[in-house]
This record gives sequence, structure tokens and C-alpha cells, in this order.
Amino acid sequence: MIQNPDQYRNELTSFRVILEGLIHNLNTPLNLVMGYVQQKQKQDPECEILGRIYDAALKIDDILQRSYNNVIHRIVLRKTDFDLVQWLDDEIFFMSNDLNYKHHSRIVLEPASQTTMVNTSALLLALTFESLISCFMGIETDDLIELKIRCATNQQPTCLEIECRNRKGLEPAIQKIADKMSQPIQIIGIGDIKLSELYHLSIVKTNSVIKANLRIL
Amino acid sequence: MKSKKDVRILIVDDSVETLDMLKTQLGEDYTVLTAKNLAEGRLLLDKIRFHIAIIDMILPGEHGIDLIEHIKQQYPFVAVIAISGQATIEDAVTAMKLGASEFLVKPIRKLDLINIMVEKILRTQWLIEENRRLTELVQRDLETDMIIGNSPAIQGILQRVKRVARLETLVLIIGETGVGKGVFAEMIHCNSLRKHQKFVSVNCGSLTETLLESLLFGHRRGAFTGAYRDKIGYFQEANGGTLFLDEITETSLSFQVKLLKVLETGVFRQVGSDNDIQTDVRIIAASNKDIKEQVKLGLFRDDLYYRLNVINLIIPPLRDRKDDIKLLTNSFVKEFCTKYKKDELTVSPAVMSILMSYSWKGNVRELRNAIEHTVILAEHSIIQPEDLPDSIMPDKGHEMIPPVSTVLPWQQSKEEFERAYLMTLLNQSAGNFTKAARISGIPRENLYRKCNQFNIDYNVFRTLKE
Repeated sequence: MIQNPDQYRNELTSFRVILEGLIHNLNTPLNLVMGYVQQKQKQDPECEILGRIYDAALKIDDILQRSYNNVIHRIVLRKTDFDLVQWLDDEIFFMSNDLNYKHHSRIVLEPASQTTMVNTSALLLALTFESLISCFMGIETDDLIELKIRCATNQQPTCLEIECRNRKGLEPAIQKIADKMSQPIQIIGIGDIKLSELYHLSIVKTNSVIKANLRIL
Repeated sequence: MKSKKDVRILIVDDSVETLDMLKTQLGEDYTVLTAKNLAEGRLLLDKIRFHIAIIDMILPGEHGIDLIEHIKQQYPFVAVIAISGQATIEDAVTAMKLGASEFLVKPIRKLDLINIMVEKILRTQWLIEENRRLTELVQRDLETDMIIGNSPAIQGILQRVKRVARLETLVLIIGETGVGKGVFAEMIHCNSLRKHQKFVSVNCGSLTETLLESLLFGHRRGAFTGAYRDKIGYFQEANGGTLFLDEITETSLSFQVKLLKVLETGVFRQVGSDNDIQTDVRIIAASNKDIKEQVKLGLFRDDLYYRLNVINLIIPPLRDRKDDIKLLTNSFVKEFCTKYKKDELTVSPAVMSILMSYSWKGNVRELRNAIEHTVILAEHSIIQPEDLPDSIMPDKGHEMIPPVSTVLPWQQSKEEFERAYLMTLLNQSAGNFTKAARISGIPRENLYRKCNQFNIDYNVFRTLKE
């Protein structure tokens, strides 16, 4: 189900503080690794292993920075302009930190042809999108769940599509989310809002494939 | 800066390993000192003059921002590179606002970037330093620690000084005693290409020919009675620099011949020597007399006159540039208050009026001496007429001269001026109309008429002088 936005923000705020400290503490040794590698590379430019250590350190830095930026972005409740394609890319990257998704699913992000600017709340979009993913993943199965996700930039309004092979009970579960979106939720400082006023969720079923379309209004 | 090693860099970080790594990175080129906390950093900053400080923003129990603030207040010329392990835009903005030149985020992906930043900062520092030096040079252009005046006449002369200073030409300065001929000569030297060499000044008028010759050319031991050892002369002492010959018209004709020879050949002989000595001296000569007249009278060699008179500067007497009196007075008052450790004195309008109407035959020198006397004797914070030396104090005739007001209508101001002028004139001529007519160029009849018009009792001036 869709988590309460206020509660989610509080959780994110706490997480952000811990993440900041964690990144700061990690950055000192990471800086040493990268620094010493660079100094050693000057002395031995042919040494391949140094390059690999440097790349690995770089990857750690990327993971930390991207995760932190994602937290910072999604904590914003008010509407802002951002590129949906980039947002989706960051979102999938962020979700990869959740080992539950990582172990039981294979997410295929189909490349978008162009950037698409949207004006919406990053927090509410993340909550809605993640509840949908959770729904797709929540149906018990031993098989690896393959999800195809794309940003349909050629449609108006812009649409996020999540597609997978139909499984028993998936359609009613998505419908439950759509119903929930029509119910008002209370947000401190804003009042009651309905997610359905911001996003329109529809289900398309063809043969064994089910697709959830989330349109950003 | 002689070499990169002269550049001192301070690094402040709580991680010893980071300090070691950055020291390795920069220590090859620069002198690097490290501190593990802000207190150590402050101690080093107190002892050593650093060029750059690299400061970690987050340290246990303290914030690098505090040190940046301290540096910018205490050592504003130290450039700062801020480093942070988890930087927010706000941190970066705060650091930059406080004056950090660069902001680096850990992990430093390209370590050489720090060397580039240091180089860039040093280049900027050098440019700032160079700019400051050049600005100072431009400002010093024709600057002198002596206040000369800002009247149009003086400004015109200063422009001329500026033009001739850098030329190697001889300069002849003409002006009454005390107008500051020496000051202008020194100013020419200080603005010339010879400014780093010596400026030697000789008053030719106060010396006998033999002594002058010995002083200028030097002498060998035994050349004359009392010449116990070899002595170099001013021509040698000022070699590469400037020799200022004041009161040149007071020299004898025979000395003038010798001087002319040096000017033409650049060669002279010490008294008592047979050897020629080469000299490279720029000559600036000065006189308080009309040299042309001296030439006509046969007291000054015409060939030397033409040789010297390449560029001439005629310094007007102080009485012809009364605008400068106020400026000079205030400047001298300040100078002597400092010299005699007195509180700041101000000049009362009455005193300024007296100074403005005095004839200043001794020019700036006389004014300077008068102010020195006044400052010494002044008992109150405002200088009053009784503080002035008696020699320039107006007598009864003077006291009657009303100060000219600048806010009166033109006709009234004109009449005031005429009245003041007549009183000064009568005071100087002791009420003698023939003399007054000769000084002023006004016919006697007109002087009588003007006196009647302004109700001036000229007999008072006659009585005063008796």
C-alpha cells in the first residue's frame, strides 16, 4: 500500500542524517585510497591493478553520491520541475539498494528517446511508483520477476509504464492501489490531497502480460 | 618569490593519513606544514607566514569555517582552499563567502587538481601583488612627501617635471630663494630612470671656489694644505645619479669653465691629480637670479648658460600663488604638530587672513619657519594671531586691512579688494605716494582719489613708520 507521505518524509530525514555522516566517514578512507592510487600510478603508470582499484573506489563514490542525491531529491514534497527520464534512472538505481528487489527481480529499464520535464512532487511520485513496484513484487512466486519499465515520452501526459508477465492476483492488487489513490490522504501543512489528482493509474492486460500505466497529470 | 619552495602551505585535517598524502602531493614543490586541529593551525599561522591554507571543513568538535574566518581577519593575504568530506552547497557558499578561493570535495578524484588550484592561487596572488606594486608606482608618479601646492601655476610645473623627469636632459630651475627649487630637483630625480642611484645636492653659493672644486671633483692626498687623504668628489659620488647644483650663478667664471668641460666631456680630474675620471651624472642647476641678466653683466658664462638651459622650470614666488598658502600652512601645521608631539592644531581665519596677505619674500621656506615658530608657541588648539612670529605680524596698518569676503556681491568684493590693496600698498610704501605709485603702477593722482573714495587716512601709515 501507499505509505503515508509525512511518515515517509520523517523516515527519509532520519535516513539522510545517518547517510550524511556515513558518507563523510567513508569519504576520508576513500579519499586516501583514490589519492594513494593516483600517486602510485604516477610512479608506475603501467600497473593495471591500480587502475582497477581506482575505478572501484570511483564506483563506491558514485553509489554514495547518487544515493545521497536521491534522498535529497525525494524528500521534497512541493512540486518542482525535473526530468522524468533522469528521475526514473535514479529511482531504479536507488531501488537497487533494496536487496529484496535485487534478489527477486530483474528490472529492465528501456531507454527513453528524449528528456521529459514534469512538474510534480518528487516525494509523492516516488511513493506512488514504489507502491506499484512493491505490488508487482509482492505477489509470491519462486520465479525471478522480470519487470520492464519505461518512460513513455511520446505520450501526453507523460507516462511511466511497468510491465510484467501476468501473475495471479496482480490485477486486483494494482486496482487496490488505484482505489487508494482516489482516497484523500492528509499531509501536515497541506491538508487533504488525492494522489489521483496528480497521477492517473490504468491497467492494460494483453494475453499473459499486464501493464500498469502511471500518467503524470 | 625565488622558487616554489619559498611557497608555504598549511594543511589542516584531522586525518593523519590525509595530511601525509597531501603533504606527499604538494611537498615536492612547496614547503608544506600540517596541523591536526584548528588550534595547531592557529599556532602555525602565528609563527609562519603562509601563502595558502588547505582546511578540512569538518573536524572533530570544531568547524573549519572558524579557521577560515580567523585567517581572513588576521592574515587576509593567505589564500584558502576548503575541503569537505560531505559538502553541501551551503557549506561551499559559506566558505566562499568567507573568502575561500577554492572548494574541494573528498574524495578528490583528480589529485593533481589540488596542484593546479595551488598554482592558480599563486598566480593570482602574484598578479594581485604585481598590480599593487604597479598601482603604487603609478600613484608615486610625481608623488613627493613634500607638499608643494595645488595652484594652477604649480600644477603646470608638475606636468612639466613629469615630462622631463625621464629624459636625460639637463634642467635649469629658476626661482626666488625659498620657493623649493631643491624639492623640484629631487622630484625630477625621483621620477627619473636614475631614481635608484644617488641624488647629491650642493649649494654652490655658500662655498669658496677652492672648496667647491674640491667637493665636486674630489682631491688627492697632499693636493692642498689639509688634504690628508684622498677624497672622492660629488661627481663621483653621484655617478649614475643626479647632481643638483644650487645657486649656480654664485660660482666664479673660472669654476664655470671647469664645470662646462665636465658637462661637455663627462670627464673631470680630482684636485691634485693628472688622471681623467669618467662620470655619468645628470646635472640639475638652479639659481635665484635672472641668469640672462648675469650673462649680460658678464658674471655668468654664456656657453655654460646655453649648455644648462636645455629645459628650464620657473618656479613662481609664493606671493604669486596665494592659493597654495592655505594648503602649505595646514600641511606645515600638521608636520610640526607631529614633530613636536602636540595635539592637532587648527588655524583661525584671522591667522589665515594674515598669512594670505603677507608678502612672503622668503617664500615657502619663510612660511615653513613661521609655522614652526607658531606651532611651538601656540598654547591653544586654535592658532591665534598672537602665536605668529612678530616678523610677519601686521602692524597697525595691517590690522586695518579687512579680510576679503568671498560671499559678497561682485562690486562690494571689488571695493573691498581695492581697499585692502591700497592699505597694503600704503603700508609697504610707508604712506609715500611716489613709492606707492611706482610699486603699483597706479598714477599718484588716482591713488589719492582712491584713498579719498575709501576714506583711508594715509597719514596713519606715515606715522607708523616714523
